[in-house]
Amino acid sequence: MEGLNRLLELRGVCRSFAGKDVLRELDLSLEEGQCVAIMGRSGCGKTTLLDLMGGLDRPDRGEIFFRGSLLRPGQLRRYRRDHVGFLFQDSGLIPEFTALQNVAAGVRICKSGADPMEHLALVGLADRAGAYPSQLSGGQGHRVALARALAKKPTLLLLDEPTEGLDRQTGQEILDLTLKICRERGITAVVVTHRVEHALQMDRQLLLQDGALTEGAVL
Amino acid sequence: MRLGLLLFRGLIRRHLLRAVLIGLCAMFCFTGALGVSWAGESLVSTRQDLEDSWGEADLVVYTQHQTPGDLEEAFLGIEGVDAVSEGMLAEPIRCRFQDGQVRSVRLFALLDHQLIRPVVQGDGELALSYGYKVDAGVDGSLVLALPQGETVSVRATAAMPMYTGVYVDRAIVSTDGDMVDIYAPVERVTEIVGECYVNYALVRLDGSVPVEQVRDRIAGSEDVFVSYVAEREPAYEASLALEDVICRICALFPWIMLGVGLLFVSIFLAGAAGQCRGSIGVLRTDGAPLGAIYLGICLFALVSTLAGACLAVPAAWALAKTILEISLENMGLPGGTLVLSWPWLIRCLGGCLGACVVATGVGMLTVSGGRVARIRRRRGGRVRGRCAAVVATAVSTGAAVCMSLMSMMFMDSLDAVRQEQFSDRYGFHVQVVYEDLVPLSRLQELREGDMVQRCEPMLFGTMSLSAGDREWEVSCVALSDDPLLILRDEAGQPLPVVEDGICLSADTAARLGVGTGDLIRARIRYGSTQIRVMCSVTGVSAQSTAFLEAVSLETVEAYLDSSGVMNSVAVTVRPGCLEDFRAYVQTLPGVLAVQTGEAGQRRFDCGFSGTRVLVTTVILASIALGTSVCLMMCYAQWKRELRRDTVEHLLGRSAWWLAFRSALWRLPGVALGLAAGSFAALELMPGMLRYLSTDTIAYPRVADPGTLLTGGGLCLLAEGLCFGMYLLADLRQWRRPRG
Ligand SMILES: Nc1ncnc2c1ncn2[C@@H]1O[C@H](COP(=O)(O)OP(=O)(O)O)[C@@H](O)[C@H]1O
Ligand SMILES: [Mg+2]
Repeated sequence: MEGLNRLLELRGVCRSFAGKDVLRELDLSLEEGQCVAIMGRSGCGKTTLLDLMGGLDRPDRGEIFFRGSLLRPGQLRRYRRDHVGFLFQDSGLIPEFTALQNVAAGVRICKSGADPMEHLALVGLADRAGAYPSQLSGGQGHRVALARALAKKPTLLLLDEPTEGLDRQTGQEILDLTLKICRERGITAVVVTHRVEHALQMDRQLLLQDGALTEGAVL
Repeated sequence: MRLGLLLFRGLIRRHLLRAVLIGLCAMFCFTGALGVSWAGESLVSTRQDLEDSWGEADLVVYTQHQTPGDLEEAFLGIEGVDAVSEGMLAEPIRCRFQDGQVRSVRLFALLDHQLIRPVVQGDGELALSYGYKVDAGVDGSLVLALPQGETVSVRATAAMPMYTGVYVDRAIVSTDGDMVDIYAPVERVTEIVGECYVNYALVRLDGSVPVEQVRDRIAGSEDVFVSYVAEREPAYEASLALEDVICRICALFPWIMLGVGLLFVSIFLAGAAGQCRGSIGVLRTDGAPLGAIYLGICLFALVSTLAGACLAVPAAWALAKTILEISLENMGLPGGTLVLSWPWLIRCLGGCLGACVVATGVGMLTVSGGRVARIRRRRGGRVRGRCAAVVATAVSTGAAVCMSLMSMMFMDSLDAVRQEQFSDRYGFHVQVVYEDLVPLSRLQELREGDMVQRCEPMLFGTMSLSAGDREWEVSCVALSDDPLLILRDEAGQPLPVVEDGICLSADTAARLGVGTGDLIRARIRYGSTQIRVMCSVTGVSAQSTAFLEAVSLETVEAYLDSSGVMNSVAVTVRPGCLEDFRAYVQTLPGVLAVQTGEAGQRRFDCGFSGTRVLVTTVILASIALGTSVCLMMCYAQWKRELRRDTVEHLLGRSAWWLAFRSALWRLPGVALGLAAGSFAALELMPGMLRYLSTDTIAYPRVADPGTLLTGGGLCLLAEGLCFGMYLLADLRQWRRPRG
């Protein structure tokens, strides 16, 4: 059956805030190992869509299937813990923890058994293991967050404007690194981006407009 | 579990300042709560010890001189009597004290210590009854010259019950007279007095027969002449009335402190939890269980609170010791060791634990579940922040205003009691008390030397009042029709003393269930003489202390065999003559005590000032706490506004306008708090006064607009000062040139 390598499927998903429909009857299915770019104007609901895919939020209506089985509200935490890695535009590190502790906390939560130090080395920050987020530069912070997301050994990696606020070169480096690892490990990646050249690096491009997705279009 | 610990370690490292603040708050409030309740506990236990040492006597009996053993024999035969302790209360002897004053000294001895074991502190055979120590104006030992010329020094203090001190000529004259009671062994008293007799007995009942019956049988005893029998209870309660207030405040204050502490800790904790909302969002995004996050936050709260609580123990010890010592010294009571009792310890632990649980609960509430997406995106409306700031300002202002107003109103009430005791009621300077009934003609000798402005005879006695089936034993005074001892009604008007009329105190009227115009039966006793009269109640006095009923001298004289007697005189003297008059009166025969209003006031003031200190502390603490809570609660909001205002300032808005706008936002909260606090204080006050009132002091309700204004004003001033500091900081920040 073709559903065998279908990782995530959204059917008729609606989400509105204070009476304003952000997502309307949205359908989407992601194949295992695919790298997908999502584009769209600011405020059109990209983050909301990622939240729903990552189990951070629940749709008002509609269903989300993970590997063919329905995601129920009670299962969201375990789903996030075992399958999803996140990378947000504000890097999303815990300021109370050092870089290494940040990665280790992720490992500890999902019990992936990965070596935190090894993942820090993977993103080239082994020498900054003891630094606190406030002592890291923006790009370094993003790389630690990436290490943290990858150390969870996720099935699905969600990246919300990961290059936002970084210079062109650093942004490109981070994206390249991410895509390389995702392809190596067969991780499905969903990247929200505003840059067409980044979007074109992906296997598939989607445009979010008026609460619905258009296949193959770029902004 | 490991994650929780990791989070806890991270929190402690990053929010050390907050942890320290939480610890300090906890320490501060636990110190207050623990210290005050410990002192209260120890006061109560000291008092219990005293009462125990005073024995389990139910009745106090005064008789004529008898040979030792007589009283025991006579009373033990009466049904319902379980045990009898005989004592010797020597007739007062006039002694010259080291300060040059002549005072009456009564020597007191017990033949056996079956029912009383007086607590004696210090050394030597003679022990000064407590309460007199302060009054006699001596620090170390008291040196007095006996009439025979022998000089003795008294170096010990005995905790003696009031019933050896209050009754003068078997009537309660005053608890503040300049009489001194000295406790000594029988041999020593016999040596000084020159003979050995018994005239005093304490009786313990076995409970098989009602107290009243036994009392009547003892009074009607055939073998011995009994001049006075009274139940023990009312007699000694009077002396401890002020201590009661302290005990009650000590019982209530800790809970307030605990509440305030909780508020503080919760605020800081909520702040800490609010600050790490982002981290919590990240952890939950990764799928961390809520339990682990709670564990981290709770550990943070618990460890900092407990650290503060631990530090509070020595501080509380010091505070408790200080309060206890001040209170006991004011009361003239011996003792002063802090006691540890299991129920108290358990209560403390319970309070501490409860505080921790509530604090952690607040911490948990702030990080409570909900959709992770919402936690990740921190969207907080400005209006909500402002509403919260208004509410926070209102709550803390209200609490501060309420607490300080209540304390100040109580202070007014306390002042009213004091005022009544010494200014309103006593329109005289000196009260002369005679050993026995003396003819009215002796007024003449007082008038000699032209020092006296006015003097009025008084006749003190005891009285049983009955109305319907209710009966009540009181002390009573017979006054002339325009007396210097004035009883006033609630409106402050003097009550008339007319023939066949009686002025009752509000307490007595309530006990008997009578009011103005009702008829009651009175049985008045003067030594061996008893008078039975029907009186109509001419007025109910609004006395707060030392409940005393008044009848007219004419009423009494009509029934006395030897008319024209008195046992006390109220005197007003010409200006500047007080000391001379006192010295003169002290030389007259048959004078038992010369009590100046001043001396009496000094005695009362000792207990009074201790209570005042405590109340003032409450006022200041509440203002300080209220304002600081207010500031803490508004701090986050302030920061947020500051950021926005700074931007506006950069865009060209005047700093003063911004500061003004920022202050304007505090106003609704302050006004709301002021109104709510005043309302709550006025509503709660009657209950509070009822809680603090005792059998002997009924605190009147005084609603002085001045107090309300001062209390509210003080709170506002404190708050204004704090907010002013914030504003100044704002202005400085905006004025700073930006680079
Ligand atoms: N928690 C929320 N409450 C109210 N409105 C929200 C909330 N989250 C998102 N929105 C609204 O939903 C819309 C889409 O937001 P978002 O998904 O963040 O857009 P994007 O990421 O595409 O810029 C926006 O108009 C935003 O104001
Ligand atoms: Mg977005």
